[in-house]
Amino acid sequence: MNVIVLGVESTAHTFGVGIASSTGKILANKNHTYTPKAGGIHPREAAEHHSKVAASLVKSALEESGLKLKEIDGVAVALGPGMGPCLRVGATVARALSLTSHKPLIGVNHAVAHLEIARLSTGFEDPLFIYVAGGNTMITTFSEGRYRVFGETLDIPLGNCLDTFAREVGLGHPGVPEVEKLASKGKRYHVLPYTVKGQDMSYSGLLTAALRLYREGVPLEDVCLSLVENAYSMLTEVAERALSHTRKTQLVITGGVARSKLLCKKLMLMTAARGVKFRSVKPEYAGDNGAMIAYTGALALASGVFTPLEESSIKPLWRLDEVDIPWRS
Amino acid sequence: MEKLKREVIKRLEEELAGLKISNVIAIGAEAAIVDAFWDGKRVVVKYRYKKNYRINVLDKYLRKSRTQREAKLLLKALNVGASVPPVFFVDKNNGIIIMDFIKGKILKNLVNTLEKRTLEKVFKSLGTTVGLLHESGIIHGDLTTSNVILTPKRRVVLIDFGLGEFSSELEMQGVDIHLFLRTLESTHTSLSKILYQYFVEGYESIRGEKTRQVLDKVLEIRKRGRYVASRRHRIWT
Repeated sequence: MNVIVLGVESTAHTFGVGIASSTGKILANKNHTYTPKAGGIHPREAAEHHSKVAASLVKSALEESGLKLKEIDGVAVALGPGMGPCLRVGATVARALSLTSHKPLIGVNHAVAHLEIARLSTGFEDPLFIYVAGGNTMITTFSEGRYRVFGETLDIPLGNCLDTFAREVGLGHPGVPEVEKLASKGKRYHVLPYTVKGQDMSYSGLLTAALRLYREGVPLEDVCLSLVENAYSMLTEVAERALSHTRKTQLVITGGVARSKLLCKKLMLMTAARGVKFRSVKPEYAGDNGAMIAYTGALALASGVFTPLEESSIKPLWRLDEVDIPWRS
Repeated sequence: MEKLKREVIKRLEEELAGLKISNVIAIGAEAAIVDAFWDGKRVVVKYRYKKNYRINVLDKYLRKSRTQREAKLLLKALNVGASVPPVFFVDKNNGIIIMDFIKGKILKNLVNTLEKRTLEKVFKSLGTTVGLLHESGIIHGDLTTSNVILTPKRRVVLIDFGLGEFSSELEMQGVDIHLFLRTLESTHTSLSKILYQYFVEGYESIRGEKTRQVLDKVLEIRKRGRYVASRRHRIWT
């Protein structure tokens, strides 16, 4: 059965509206990202941004797809995990669309959506996933009806570590591209904490130590080099552990940090040595976007999954491995 | 993988003259385990080979410090009489540990074939070994029945200290045993209770009154519910 779903994304700094079919056609993908004037994402300000752009994004997504609201089979929304105030905007918009169009509402887990769009965009059927973004760092794969978390960060996510570092040293937000640019000019590597605990990683000690190095007067280029070297190597090592354990033959990277060339280079080197295939999600689906929510919502709806209105409250701490995945077996 | 194996053999032979490699037993994420002859003796080589995705300085530092730590753990364990593979040679700069080849089979694959009396002996003996380790400030870090070899003469040998640490903290000891209990429950479900009981008897024979504290800690760790609840507040968006 082919269904077409409109999806709303609003878990963090991006408000997005996408339209996709369960067979994998992306009919629209309209997104707008809130940029803080100073500091990191302020949840209330981000939510204000979302509520301002919501209506026009819904309209332009429908225009792009050439469809009318009544021609759509369902309305999906990322109910979590994410920032409460931001999530509430998306949920309210989606509920309103669902009620006015008399179409079912589908609550989608944001992390599941990152994985599904990566499968669609790389064509890999059953890969091991590295999902790494400003808010998440985990290694996961599908097993027995759910995505199982094989390893994750014990404290802050990788993207958050680099973003916070960038902000503290005055490189602005988002920080990853800037930090990488400087890292490529670095000359001397300084040993920083490298914390891999079995399958899990820890990034907070690395962040503190990198900031200390900077304050001690070590050239910023060298600090950046040392920081990304450790941050990315830790993730690559854990991914290799997971590959060795699960014997998967495909590796996919998804999430905002999937755009990182340095990280992809490391993963390429590691997978090539092991004879594992490696692909990165397409750049337009790397960061948060509406299309991934729409597509995942369509997969869910096609398998008969939807969310009654009274159960559609937001879930800011919704874990990936709590979600049943009936469309995979 | 075959290509990687050939490469590892080549590099290892270059670094250690006199080593005759018969087989690469396994290539994990961190090291290769190699079956070889060294000076005519049958040995196992744990080789933390160079990872080309890491910058040289970091790669050297990690391989060196991890090899050194693992060797220290093994040597200390031997010193206190725990049943672990004897170490013959350590080259920390090249990430090499040469150990005795322990003839036998992995306990995981034997549990279902052994008689109850043998199982009692084996798991008591394992408990004793872990008790000795904890008593002397060693955490194994990966206590599973896959990391135990049972020799034909029924000697129980604990291997792979790659995730081990030096620590005398109750919490660490609790986690060590918690992980072991979880392995028993997931891989030897129907026997898990009795096997755990044997294990605890052996453990208690070394640790005495401290056993209670550790087991209480294990219970407390279990109540954390596989970290889910305790991690929740830390995972944000």
